[in-house]
Amino acid sequence: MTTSETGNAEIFELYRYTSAARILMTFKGAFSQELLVELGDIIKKQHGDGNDVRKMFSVFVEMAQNILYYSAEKETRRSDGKEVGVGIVLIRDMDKYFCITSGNQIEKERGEKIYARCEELAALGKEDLKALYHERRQSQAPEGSKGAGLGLIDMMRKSDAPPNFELRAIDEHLSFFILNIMIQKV
Amino acid sequence: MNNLSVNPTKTTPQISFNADSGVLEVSGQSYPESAVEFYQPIMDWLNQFFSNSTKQVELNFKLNYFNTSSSKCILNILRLFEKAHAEGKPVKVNWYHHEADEQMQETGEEFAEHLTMPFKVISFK
Repeated sequence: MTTSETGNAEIFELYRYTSAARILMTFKGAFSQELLVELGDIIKKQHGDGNDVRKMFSVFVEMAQNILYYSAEKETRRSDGKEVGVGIVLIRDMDKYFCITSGNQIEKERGEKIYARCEELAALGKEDLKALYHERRQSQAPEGSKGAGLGLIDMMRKSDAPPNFELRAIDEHLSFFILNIMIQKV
Repeated sequence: MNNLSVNPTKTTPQISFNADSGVLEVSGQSYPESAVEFYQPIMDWLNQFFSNSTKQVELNFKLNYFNTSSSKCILNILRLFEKAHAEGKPVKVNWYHHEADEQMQETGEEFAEHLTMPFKVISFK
């Protein structure tokens, strides 16, 4: 194989980019339950069990399970034929904060709903989010939700700085949804 | 009635419910792929237990992490106890958390805010 066929230049660029972006951990691919358990363990092993790491861990689990259930991009696992969602999660070092990011493909319409939901939640204060979390926890899960529909609210509650989210168009049917949650280091 | 005993896994808690002593315990962590599926047999056991028991029941939570879908299932368990309490059955719940674990302390306190049965948040070292 020639150097261009192996993509060595791109791999070098990827390495340089991940270094410059201070990416502590990233995974792009199929998020099975087993994989997220292993990655979660790595987070704890590398960072310990301080309250910031506990928050980081729980945001990570919510993001990874969201990708597993809801990503519009699916992959069938070779080992057992199970279908799981594909996406990317990153943990970045941002001086006073850890930034935990998820990105995944989403059907355009569903993406717009999630984005609007994020806007609503981001406008609420911590007390309002707490009240909403309680209210939602008591009610039935929203239609199409495999979890409790609580993950977004929980992540917004844990964010120590205003959350950042974006919907980028892929084509007429698909968008790419990005969510950034900031956890203050202790 | 049989006791309920479920061994812990990395993503599911240990369950030890003793029907004779009335001491029930949920410990470890909870973030299974499907929380509803995991907690259904536990809800079934509790429903049967409360249908033919009037003795003192103590439920101890000793969790160090649970995800949002497990949180909903835990609330459903607490609601069963709250209902038993409303029917005059003697129940109490203890929510244990490590003293350094703010998340588990806060979630315990949040559950407590909406319950009328005896519910204690207890820190341990």
